[in-house]
Amino acid sequence: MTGAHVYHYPRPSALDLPSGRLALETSGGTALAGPVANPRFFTGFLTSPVIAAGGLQSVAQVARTRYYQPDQLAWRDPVVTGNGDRLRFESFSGCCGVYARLDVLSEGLDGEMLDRGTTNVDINEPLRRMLARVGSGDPLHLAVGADELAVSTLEGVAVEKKVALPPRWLRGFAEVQVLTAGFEPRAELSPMDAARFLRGLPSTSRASGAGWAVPFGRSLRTAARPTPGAVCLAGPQRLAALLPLLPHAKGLRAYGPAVRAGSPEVASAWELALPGMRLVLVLSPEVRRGFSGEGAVLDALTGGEVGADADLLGALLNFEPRVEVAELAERAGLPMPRVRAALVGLGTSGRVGYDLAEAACFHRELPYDAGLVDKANPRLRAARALAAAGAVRWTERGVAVVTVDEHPHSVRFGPDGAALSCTCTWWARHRDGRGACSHVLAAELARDNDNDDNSELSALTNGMASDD
Amino acid sequence: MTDWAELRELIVHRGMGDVAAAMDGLSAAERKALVEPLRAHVKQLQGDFGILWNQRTTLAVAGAGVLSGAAAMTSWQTRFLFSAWDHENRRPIEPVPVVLQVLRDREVDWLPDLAQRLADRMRARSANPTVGRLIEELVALTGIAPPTTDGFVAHFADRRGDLDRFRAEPRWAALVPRMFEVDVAMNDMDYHPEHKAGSWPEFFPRLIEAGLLDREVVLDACLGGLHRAAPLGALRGALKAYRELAVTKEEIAAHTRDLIALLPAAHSTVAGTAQEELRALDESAPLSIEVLTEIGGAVLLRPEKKLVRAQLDWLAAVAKREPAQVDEIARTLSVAFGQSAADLQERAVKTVLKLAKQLSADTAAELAAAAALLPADLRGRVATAFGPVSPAEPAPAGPSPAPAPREMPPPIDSAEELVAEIGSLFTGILDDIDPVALERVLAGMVSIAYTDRDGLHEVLAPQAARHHWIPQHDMASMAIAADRFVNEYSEFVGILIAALQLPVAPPGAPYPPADDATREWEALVDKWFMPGPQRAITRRLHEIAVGINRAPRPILLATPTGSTGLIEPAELARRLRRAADEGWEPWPADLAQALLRLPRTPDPAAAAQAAELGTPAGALLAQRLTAGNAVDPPVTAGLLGSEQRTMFGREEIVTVHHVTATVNPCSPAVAGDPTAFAGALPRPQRWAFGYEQQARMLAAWPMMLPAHREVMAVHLVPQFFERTRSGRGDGGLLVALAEADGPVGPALGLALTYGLAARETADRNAAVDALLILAGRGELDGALFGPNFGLLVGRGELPLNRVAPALRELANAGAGPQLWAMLAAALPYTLPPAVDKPANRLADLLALGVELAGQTGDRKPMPELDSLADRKGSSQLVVQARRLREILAS
Repeated sequence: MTGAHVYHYPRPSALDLPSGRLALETSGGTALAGPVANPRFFTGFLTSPVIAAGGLQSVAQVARTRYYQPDQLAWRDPVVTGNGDRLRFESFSGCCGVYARLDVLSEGLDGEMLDRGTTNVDINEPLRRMLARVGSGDPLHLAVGADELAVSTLEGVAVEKKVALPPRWLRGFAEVQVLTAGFEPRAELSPMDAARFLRGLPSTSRASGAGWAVPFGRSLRTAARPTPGAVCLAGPQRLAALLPLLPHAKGLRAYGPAVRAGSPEVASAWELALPGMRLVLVLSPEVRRGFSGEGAVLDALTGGEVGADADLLGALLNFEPRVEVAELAERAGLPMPRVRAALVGLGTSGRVGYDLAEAACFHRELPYDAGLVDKANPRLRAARALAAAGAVRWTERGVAVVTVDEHPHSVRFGPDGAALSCTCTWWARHRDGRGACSHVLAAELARDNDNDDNSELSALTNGMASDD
Repeated sequence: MTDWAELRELIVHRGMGDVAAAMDGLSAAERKALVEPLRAHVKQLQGDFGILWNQRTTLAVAGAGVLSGAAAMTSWQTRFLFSAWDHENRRPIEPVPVVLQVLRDREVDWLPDLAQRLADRMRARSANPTVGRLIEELVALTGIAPPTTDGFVAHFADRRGDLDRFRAEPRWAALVPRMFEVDVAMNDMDYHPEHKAGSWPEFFPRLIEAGLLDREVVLDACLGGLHRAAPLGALRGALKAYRELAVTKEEIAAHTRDLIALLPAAHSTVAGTAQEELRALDESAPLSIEVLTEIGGAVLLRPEKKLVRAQLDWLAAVAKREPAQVDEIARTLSVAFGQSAADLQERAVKTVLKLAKQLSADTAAELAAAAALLPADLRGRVATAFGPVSPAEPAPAGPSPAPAPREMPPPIDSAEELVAEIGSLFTGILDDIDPVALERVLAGMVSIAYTDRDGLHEVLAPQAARHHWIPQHDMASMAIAADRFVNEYSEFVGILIAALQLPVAPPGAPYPPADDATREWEALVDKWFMPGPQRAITRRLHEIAVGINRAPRPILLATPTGSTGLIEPAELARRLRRAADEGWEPWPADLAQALLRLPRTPDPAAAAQAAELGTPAGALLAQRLTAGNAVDPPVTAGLLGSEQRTMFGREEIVTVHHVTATVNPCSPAVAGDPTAFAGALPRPQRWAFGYEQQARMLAAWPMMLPAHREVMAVHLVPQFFERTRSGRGDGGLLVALAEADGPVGPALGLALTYGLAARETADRNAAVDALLILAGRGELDGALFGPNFGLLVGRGELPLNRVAPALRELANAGAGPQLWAMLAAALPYTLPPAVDKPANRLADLLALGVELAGQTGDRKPMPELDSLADRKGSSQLVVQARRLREILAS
C-alpha cells in the first residue's frame, strides 16, 4: 500500500554565491487562488543568511535521515508554507519519528510576500553543499518559487522526482500536529546552558532507550524516570540537527505533555530560538516508534460531526500564520469546543499545523494527495470491518466481547463510557499509551450505531405519537 | 526445441550451459510460450521448502531466455541471479556470463533499460554483487553511461579499483564522486577484503595522475561526504580519501568555507582534521578575524577536550600575531567559559588572563560578565584582572524534595481487567516486570478465582489457549517431575493453571500440610540454587497456586497498600479481622510476607485491634505492631575475602578479596528477622548467579522488604556489579531501594556505586535519581558511602569515565554538599600512599572536588594530596591535585 508522489520543479533549486541569490524551486500544492503547479511565495533578502542557510540544512537533514534502522532512501522534499508574514519549512524523517520545522519570521525576512500557500521545495545535494558555504558577510537574496519569465530565460532543466509516499509517513506527519497541540513549555535554557545540555547528551545510536529531561535550576538534567514537569528525551541522538546552529542560538525551549511518576514514554518538542527564526524538532516517544502509530487522532476520527465541521472551517481558512479559535468560531457560527475538535480533524488530514511558540494552529495544506492523508487508519479500518461484521457482543455486565477469527477479546468500559482495557496483545503492549486498539474502536462504533438506531427508533416513535 | 517438459528437466537436473543451449535460436513466439510454464514451475517450487534455491542459476538463465521486457526481466533476475557453489567440482558457479550471452543472443533493444532498472532495484545495504556484475557487463555491452543509483554505487565501491579498466572505459569515473554520497559506499571504499592490494582512497591519486579523474571533483565530493551526518565507518573512508589526496594550501584556501562547515557538528575526528587544516592555512596565509571568531565560536562549544585545547592555543597564537584584534579574540575565548570541564575552563581563563593588559574596558566588562558561569576560584582570578564578577544565579541550594512514590492503583475488580493485566505483565522480558502490576494481578487472581471462577475461566481460557507460555495441559500433568525446572515463571504459570481448574477443597479449607509432593517440590527448589529473594518469590507464587486449588481464600494478605511495598497496619488488621470472621487461617508465606511489609514504627492502636482478634495470626500481628517491624540483621560491606565459586558443578571456596556485602541472620534468632523470609547472604559474593538460576522477577525484590532496604541491597550488590560489565535496565531497582524504608548502610552505598558505573547511560541516570531521592529525604550520608567508593576507585575497579559524569550530574542537581562529603571521605583511599598508581581519570574526580569544595565551604586539609601535588609537571592529575590542595587550605 504505497502511494507515490511526483515532484515537478521547473529547474533545480540553486544558490549562486557570487551573486548571493538563493532560488528555491516549488512544486505543486495550494496558494490563495487554489492549486498551483509552481507557486511563488516570497522574494527578498534574508536578514541572517548564515543562520537561515544552517536552518534549511537542518530541515533537509531530517528529511533525508532514518533515525531508526538507519538506511538511505530517496527522501521527500521539505514543505514550505507562506503564511503571510513568515515562511515555514517543514520536514519529516524517513523513520516517521522526527519532525522538523524552520520558521523564518518577519524579522528574518526583508522582502515581498507574493502569495500565501503551501508547496514542496527542492533541496538537492549541490544546493546543500552551497548552503554550507554561506559565510557571515554574504547578503542572501531568497526567492521561493521562480518568476515565470525568469524560468523561461534562465538555464537549468526541469526536474522530475518520483518518491514513495507511504500512508504511515503521511499519517505521522499529520499526527504530529495533533500531538503537539497538547504540549506545554517545560523548560527554557540560556544559550550557554543549551549548549552544555545538548552537547552533554550521548550521541551514539546505542543510547536508544528513553530518558527524561527534568528541569533543575537554570537547566535540565537527564533522569531515568519521569517526574512532574519532565520532558521525555528518547534517542537524544535525534537532536543532532540542532547542533550546527548552537553557536547562533538565543535559547532552547523544551515542550511536552504533562507527565507524572510512572508515566510511559511520550513525545517531546525542542525549539531553538535563533535571530529572526525558530527551529523546532519533535521527537516520537521511542526511537523505534513512528508518529503514525500514536493513535492520538483516533478519537477525533471516530466522532461523527467533526468531518462536516472540518470541511466548513477548511473553507474559511486562508493560510493564516495563527488561527484564532474565537474569531474562527464567530465566523463559522460554531461553538469553540467544536471548532477545536474540527481543528484536530483538519490536523489529521494535514490541513493545519501547530506552532508551539505561538500556542496556536497555522493553516497549511500538505501538498500531497489528500486521499492518501485521509486514508483510514489501519486500526480504524479493522474496527469498522469488525463492527460491520457484527463481531461485537455485549455481556450483561456491559463488557464488549469482540470476536476476531473465533478468538474473543473482552473490552471493559468505565461508568463514563470510556474504554478501560482490552485483553488483546495491543493493549497488553501499549495499554492506553498509543490510542485505542481495534477492538475498543469496534466496540465504540457498535455502541454508537446502537445508540443511533435507538435514537432513530425513538424519534420515529415520537413522531408517530405526535402524528396521533 | 520448445518443449517445456524438456526445459524443465534441464532446469531441475542439468546446468546453466544446457539451459542456455536450449534457448539458442528460439523464435519470439516460442520464447513467449515458455513464460507461463516457467512461472508456474517457480510457483510450485515455492511450496517445496528448500528446493528453490538450488535451481536459482538455471532459473536465471531460463528467465533470461524467455521473459520479455525490461520490467519482467528485472524482477526475475533480482530474484534469481546469485552466484552458487558447485559442491561436486568444488568451484563457484558464475551465472553472469551465461545470462549475458543469452540476453545478447536475443538481440532485443531494452538492455540499456534493463541495466537501469536493475540498478534502481539494488539496495545500498544489501547490494547483490552478482546483479551488480551483470549491470557492469550490460554497461560495457551497450555503451550507456553507468547507472548512478545508491545500490549500484555501493556495489561499485565494493569492487577493486582497476586502472586498466578505467583506461578502457573512462565512463566509470563518473561514479567516483557519487561514492561520497552513499554511506555504504563510503564505508566500503576503505576496508573491503578485496582491497588488500590497495583501497579506493589510495587509488584516487593514481586515477588523477593518469588523467582519468579531475582532482577538484574528487576533493569536492570528498568534502561533501565529510559534511554529511554519516556513520563513523563511512566518515573514516572519506577521511582516508581526503588524506590520500594530500590537499595543498591553495586547495584548502579555495575550500575554507567547506572546512568551516565541518566544525560545529561533524564527528570529532572530522572536525579535528578540519581544524588542523584551517590552522595550517591560517599560519601560512592569515585568515580574517571574522572567520577566526566564527571558527572559535563553533569549536569552543564542542565537548571534546582535544579540540577545545587546540582552539585555545590557536587563538592565543593569533592574539600574539595580531595585537590589534585582541578584544575580538578575548571575547571569542570567553565562549569556553561555558565548558563544563574544569580543566578547560581553567585553560580558557589562563589564556584570557594573558591578554588582560591589552584589552579595552568594554571587553573587560564583557569578560567579567561571561565569567559568571565559572567555579569560585576561577571567578576570583578573572575578578582580579577585570573587576567584580557576579556569580551566575546559583543552582538551588539543595536537591528537590524527593517526589512522592507513585500511587498504588485500585485493586482489580473483574475477570476482564485481570486477564488484560496478565497479558500486559508478560509482554516484555520478565526482568522488566512491573512489581506493582504483579502484586495487583496476584491479589486479583486470588479474589476473582474465589468469587467468579466461571467468569474467570470464560475470559482466561481463550487467552491461555493463545499463549505459548502457558502449557496447554491441566494441573495433573503439572505433577512434579524430578527434572522439572522451578522458578518464578513456572510457578506463576502454575497459578494460571490452578485458576483454570475447579478447586478441590471448599473455601477456607486449611492450607494443605506438607506431604510427599510438597517435600519433593522443596527438594527441587533446593536443587536449583537460587538467591534468597528469588527463592522467596518462587515459594510465595507456589503457595498461591496450591492455595487457589486446595485452600481457596477471598483475599491475599500481603498485597501492599503503597507502591514501595508497605502495608498500612490498620488495613492488615482489617484483613485479618475478615479471616477471623469467616473462619479461615492465612496461608503461611502470605502472612510472613504481609508482616514484613509493615512499617518500622510501632502502631499501638492497630496492635490492640489485632490482639482482639484472638487468632494466632492476630497475635503475631499484634506482637509485630507493638515491637515495630525493625529487626535489622547484621550487614557488612567493604573489602571482604572468600568468594564462592561454582565450577563444573563443584563448589569450592576460594579466598579472593572483593568489595562486596554480606548479611547474616540475627543471632540469637529473633522473630521478624527479614533474612528468615528473604534469605541471608553469609559468604561474600560479587557475581550474580549463572544463567540457569538467573532471577526472573528482579524488579519485584525491593517490594519484598520495604522496611529493610539495606538487607535487599546486600542481595542486589552482585546484580549491580554485573551490570557494570554488561546488561541494562536494572536502574529502576536502585530507585525502588531509595524509595523504600530502613536504615541506609554501606551495602546500599555499594549498590549505588556499582549503579553509577553501569554500562548503560540510562542505568547510570537511574543511580543518580536514586541518590537524589536519598538526598531529598535527607538520607544521603556521603561519609558513610565514601570509603567503599574510594576503595573501588583506588583498586581501579570503577570506570571513572562513566562515574565522574554521573557524579557531576548529581552535583548539578543540588546534591553538592553530600557529594563533597562522600568525595572527601573517598579521596584518601585513591591517592598515594593508599595506592601505588592513581586510577585513570582520577583528575576528573579531583576537578569535581575542586568545584564542590569551592561551593560548599566545608573544607579541611587533605595531606594525602601532597605526594601528587608536589610532583613536577603539568599533567591534569598534578594540576587538579594542586588546585584541590589550595582550595582546601584556604
